[in-house]
Amino acid sequence: MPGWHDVTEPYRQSGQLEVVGLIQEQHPDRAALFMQWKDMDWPLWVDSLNLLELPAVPYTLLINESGRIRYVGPSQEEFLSFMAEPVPQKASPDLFEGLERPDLGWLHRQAKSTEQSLAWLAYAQALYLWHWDTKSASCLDAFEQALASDPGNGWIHFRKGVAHRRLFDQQLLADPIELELAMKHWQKALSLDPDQYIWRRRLQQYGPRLDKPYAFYDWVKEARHALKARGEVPLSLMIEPVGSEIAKPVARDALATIPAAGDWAPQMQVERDKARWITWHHVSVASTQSDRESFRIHMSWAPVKQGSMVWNNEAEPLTLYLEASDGWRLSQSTIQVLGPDSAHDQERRWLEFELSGQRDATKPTVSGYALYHVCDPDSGLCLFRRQDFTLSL
Amino acid sequence: MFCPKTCLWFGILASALYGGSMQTKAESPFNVGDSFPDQWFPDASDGRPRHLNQWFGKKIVLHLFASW
Repeated sequence: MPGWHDVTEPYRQSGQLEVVGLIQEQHPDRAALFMQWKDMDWPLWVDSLNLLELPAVPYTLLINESGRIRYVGPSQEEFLSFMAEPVPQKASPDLFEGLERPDLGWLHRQAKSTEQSLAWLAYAQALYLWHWDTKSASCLDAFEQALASDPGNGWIHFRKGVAHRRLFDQQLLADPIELELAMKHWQKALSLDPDQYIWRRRLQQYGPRLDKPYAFYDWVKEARHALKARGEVPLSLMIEPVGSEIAKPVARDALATIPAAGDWAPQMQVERDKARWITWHHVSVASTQSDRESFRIHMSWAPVKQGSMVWNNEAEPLTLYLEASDGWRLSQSTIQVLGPDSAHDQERRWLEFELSGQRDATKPTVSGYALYHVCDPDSGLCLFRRQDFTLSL
Repeated sequence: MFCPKTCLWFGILASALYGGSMQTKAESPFNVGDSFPDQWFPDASDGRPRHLNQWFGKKIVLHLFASW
């Protein structure tokens, strides 16, 4: 892309050419940061839902004055030929004859009157694109209506997954159910069309390292560093890429270097959290290559909202001890999750780990326990508690 | 239900694989000579709807990509 930028920039600056990027990813602000880093200031548009039904990226298209595609994936010589082409004598404005933003009321009436999947999908997409801030619940409901009529449609599953992930981000990772639903729909979509690369990539973004052809957002750190060195303020990101999103790939034969769970903590005489002041949730993302070889587990722990307990950040942070069932190997057997700087908080704590095994291994389970400190802000009473858990994948 | 568009993509793919007029990647869903799909997209900077018709009469380079 930067190479193309150098070639096209003089034409763009002289007004002979427009350049635009259209991104196929969940988080547009990350692409915007990438553009800032590479000093590319042309417009950036977003197709998170893959409305173009692209099987993969990247593609570069050269489009002429009439809106016709003249080259797909051109060489730079072809670009120069394209720029030398005369303007068509008779342009064809009908090709771009203006569709306007969809009429939401009309789309809703169509969906309700026909009850057709396609009509519900069109309504859902319009809500996603243009009315998300006020109608995200209606959007998800419309996707659900579309699926009710056509449950085997991978496109609806993929796009509903995108909407769930967006809601998860918008709520600042507070509701793990939205993450779970996003993964569920993406996994279903990919099972319906295993060759769809865009869908595969969306899952791999949150999946195990065995499954990654390359890291997704490991460039963010380098980009920020370079921008600061240039005296620029890096664009901010709504959700910081962490865990699986910045994890480097790992080869199968490198798995032997992952330490087996050997430092299982000794049984400690810590009182169990019988009142369940803290609850946990997990989402597992299987490898897109095999459903039995590796998993990335996204686990979260949070105080029960209705309760008055808060994390005690002045004591040891939340610590987990993990052990996998026979034939399975964990990426870590001990995990600590630091809280914010404040003395107390109620934020959900997220952690990730991976589980890998032989293709013919039995269904895995991960057992373990968490140790944590909580306080009751009303009474000032602070407690140290343990909670045991088992994950069946 | 997606057949009209999806079939078009498959038609393009088949054309590319079996000697069609595609100039580049066999798996590309785009066909030289076609118009770009008539679709609005949000602008990453402000979320406002954008359409290629805003540049009708000009040459355009369109990069379809992801930053990952």
